[in-house]
Amino acid sequence: MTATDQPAPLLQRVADGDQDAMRTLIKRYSGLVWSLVRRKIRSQSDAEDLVQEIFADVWKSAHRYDAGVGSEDTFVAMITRRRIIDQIRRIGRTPTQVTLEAPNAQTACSQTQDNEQLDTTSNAGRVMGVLRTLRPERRQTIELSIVHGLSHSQIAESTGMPLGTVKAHLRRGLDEVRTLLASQLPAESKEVSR
Amino acid sequence: MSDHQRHDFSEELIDLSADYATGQADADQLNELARMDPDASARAAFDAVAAEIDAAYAELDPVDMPEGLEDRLFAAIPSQPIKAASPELKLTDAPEPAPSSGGVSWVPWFVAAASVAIAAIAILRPQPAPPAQTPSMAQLRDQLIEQVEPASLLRYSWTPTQDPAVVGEVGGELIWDEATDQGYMTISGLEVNDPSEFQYQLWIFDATRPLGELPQHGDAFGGLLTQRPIDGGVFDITDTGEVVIPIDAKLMVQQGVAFAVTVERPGGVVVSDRSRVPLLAIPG
Repeated sequence: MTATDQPAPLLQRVADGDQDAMRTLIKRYSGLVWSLVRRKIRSQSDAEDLVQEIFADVWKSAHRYDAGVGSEDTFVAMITRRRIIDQIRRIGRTPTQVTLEAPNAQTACSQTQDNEQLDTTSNAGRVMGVLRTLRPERRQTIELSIVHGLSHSQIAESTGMPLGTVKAHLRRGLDEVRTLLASQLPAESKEVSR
Repeated sequence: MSDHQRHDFSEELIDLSADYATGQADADQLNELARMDPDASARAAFDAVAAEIDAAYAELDPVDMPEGLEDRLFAAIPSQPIKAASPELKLTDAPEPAPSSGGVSWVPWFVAAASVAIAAIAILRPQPAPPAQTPSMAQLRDQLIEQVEPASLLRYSWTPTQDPAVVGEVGGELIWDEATDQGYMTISGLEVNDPSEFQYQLWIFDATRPLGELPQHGDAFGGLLTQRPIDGGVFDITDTGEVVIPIDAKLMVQQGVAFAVTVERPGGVVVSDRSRVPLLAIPG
């Protein structure tokens, strides 16, 4: 297949109004969107409505997708997270059921730590590889905030860390991940991190 | 990693952007971010990092989807080409910055993802006067009426209730184009609201959505009002005379058959208790 025979990126076809592409988009990303939403929105019916709103937003915003910037997964996840944050603001934050036995409780990241089969060329493998290089308390704070949607004060309460420490771990940790992910990109793409 | 990458953003901007990306920035911080990060590059970079982390965990530990959700998503696919999100929201009053030389930027994606948040920032920032050529809402409504197929245009008069927000003779109508999912409300006779105290919110009842989720509304209108409606947007009434307000449906509407205006807390709600419903637009 030559370069000119390559099918257009899925999101570009969605932007062009291709209904088959929209169905493919749903099949490919509904699991991701649902997983992101359900971890943070407790009401199932709210979560289901939000997923529908998110896909409507993705369809409307698909024309902004540029395959040279990053993956479709990241594009969809960015839109999804913004909508979740907006929804949490509207309904008021409710604590997620996260039980921590100790500040260094095992996390999804640490559970995969010994998994040598994790594909380090995949997005997930690349990100997990970077997270594993962080100090455990930074990694834990990032997971509680970004994956479970806990507020700073909820993380402080769950882990026993002072509030200021939680904030510092989260901010420094995220910046560290940003820098490390950027350092793995090809030289011509490093502006992506900005 | 290069020194350039490490020092892209100031410490203060990193702190604010991290709070933004995790949904922890308050109104003062959002204002400060808009000032310090006028091209949104810091917010976009941290939003992208948060999205990559969240997506990675979701991939490794997915949550099972409920039965039927995928089918409902398929059913919501619009039959018409999708309108781009509009209007395009500007982060600042300045022209959009050119892409960095030789590279690519997360910023357009950030704009796609953050229209709600940007709108919130925009509310907090002084707004320039609209250009003289900007069509009024009444003109846009009239354009829609002229352009659409009459058969696809729903037109309902308002039915007022005894709610105290009804302060005068109610006039106007609601129009809704089923083909393009666009519509406008023309309203007179409602109380002018202070947006810091309460706001109005429109709800769209879609005949294709299941009934029976909110049984307190009984069998009125064939049970239609027992369903969970679609959020049609939060709005303000700025004049007891006639005002025209665009409808901002948050979901694709398959078959809009009734509309209700409720009084809600500032910012609106996800699920209305419908304790205050000043206006209804229902088939006559």
